[in-house]
Amino acid sequence: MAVRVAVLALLALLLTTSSQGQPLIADISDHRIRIDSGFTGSDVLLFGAIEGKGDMVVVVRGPDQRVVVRRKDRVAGMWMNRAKMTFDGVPAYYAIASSRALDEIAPPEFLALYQIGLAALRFTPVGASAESNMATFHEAILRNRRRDDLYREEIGAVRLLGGRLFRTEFYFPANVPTGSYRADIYLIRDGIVVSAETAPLFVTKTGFQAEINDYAQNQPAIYGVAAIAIALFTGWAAAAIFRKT
Amino acid sequence: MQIYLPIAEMSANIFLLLGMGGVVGFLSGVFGISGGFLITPLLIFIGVPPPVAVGSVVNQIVASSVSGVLAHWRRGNVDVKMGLVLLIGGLAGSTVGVWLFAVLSGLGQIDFVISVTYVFFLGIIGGLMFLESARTILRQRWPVRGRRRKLHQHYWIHGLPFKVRFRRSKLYISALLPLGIGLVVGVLAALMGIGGGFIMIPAMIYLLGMPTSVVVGTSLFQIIFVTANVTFLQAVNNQTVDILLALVLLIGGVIGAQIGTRFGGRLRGEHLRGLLALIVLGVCAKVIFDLLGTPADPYTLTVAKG
Repeated sequence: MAVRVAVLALLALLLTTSSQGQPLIADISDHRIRIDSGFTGSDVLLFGAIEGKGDMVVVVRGPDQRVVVRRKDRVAGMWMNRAKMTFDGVPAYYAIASSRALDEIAPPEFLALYQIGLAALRFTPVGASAESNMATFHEAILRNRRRDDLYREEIGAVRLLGGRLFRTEFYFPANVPTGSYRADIYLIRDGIVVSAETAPLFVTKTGFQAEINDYAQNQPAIYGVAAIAIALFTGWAAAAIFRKT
Repeated sequence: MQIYLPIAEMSANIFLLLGMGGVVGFLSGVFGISGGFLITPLLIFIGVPPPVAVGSVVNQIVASSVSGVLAHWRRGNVDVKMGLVLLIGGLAGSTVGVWLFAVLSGLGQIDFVISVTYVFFLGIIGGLMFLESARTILRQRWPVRGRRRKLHQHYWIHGLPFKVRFRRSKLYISALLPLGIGLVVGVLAALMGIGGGFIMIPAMIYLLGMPTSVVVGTSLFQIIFVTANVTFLQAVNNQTVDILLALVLLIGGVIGAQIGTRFGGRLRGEHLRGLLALIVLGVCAKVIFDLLGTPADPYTLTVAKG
């Protein structure tokens, strides 16, 4: 079934791109999110125009990570980490906005195939883990990331203006990881993708923040010595200043 | 005003950080401690990842110890020889501590171990300090005539080899003893993200028998080097030292410490120790509470490197 949907979607894409008018044009207000010293999170506007009727789904996905999930259990009255599971392919950020509820837009097989919606996200377990309740660990990732505002699902957040123009906003919280992101924009009609577009997005640290981070990661010995030197100097300076007053 | 911390990778209110540094600085000025045991849990509480909290606080303590030791140095209250022996132990211990920290982080048990060591040492030291100060205060109200304490007491400790004369501390003891104390406190300093003053000072007074006048200066003297060592090793091995975070805490801390020093001069020694004991026991109770209470979410995520 999934394969058939994929073939249909691909066919739809080929058909529409060969026709003269582009059914979907989209762009992002800013392709680069800069983390500077005053960064408290950022909103990015995604907008565009569509030809004909249809539903819009926009997915913004961050770089894949390897994530270790640990579960605390009671040991002699105290809570400590006991069980753990490791997953690959866990997006650092995943936000989805759509014009209607996802299950009204497309069949579940389609959503699963393109990993559209939090329920459709797949993570790859690493190692021969004997953990039988994998689903609860999977759920824990979704729950934790939602709490940190890194996973978001916003139904109805894509607004269509006059049936032609659409716009939606994505929020990137202050703790957003750096890396390359991509935004996938789908125009879906009768459960099939009529047109799709992909736009890149980069989250980077800039200025002073970037320099500190760069030194810490690439020149850790110099960074360590600098940290000590700064501390020695400020400690001495503070004592000298307050001694005079 | 928010400030983005590049290594902690989070945004925090700069006035909150300055205030935290200030309050802890004030207490450190009053009590003559570096206050790492207070500020590390506070940072973790506001969402700083534990490894970054530990690495950055240790960096901040380098500065506060330098600033504190200078006054003691001028008054000649630093036993350099004793400090150096403690330091040899401290450098070895803190190196082991940083390594242990990395191993426990890998096993996912670092938070648990930090909590348990906090409870253990804060509980014992806070409890003993509280009893001692309470006893002193009660004695002053209702004096009892007791046996006079001997000037020197002799334990098995005094039979250890490698005896060295520490002139300033007026001691003739085995070098193994301060070496061992330095080692143990060094491991704890690296693990707990503290300078170790609140463990070192009682150990110097009760285990080594050093005169109280040189205890604080000598402890600060060796803390500078131990925390510098931990800063360097954490920066090289784990990249968990946030210079910006350390700097902000430091500015608040230095100002707080100056106010605290003036305030502390007006309080009596036993009252000071009693108050400090209550603070230490308070932090201890909070850690116990967190350890025993059901967590909001028993599942936690860690992003693996690479």
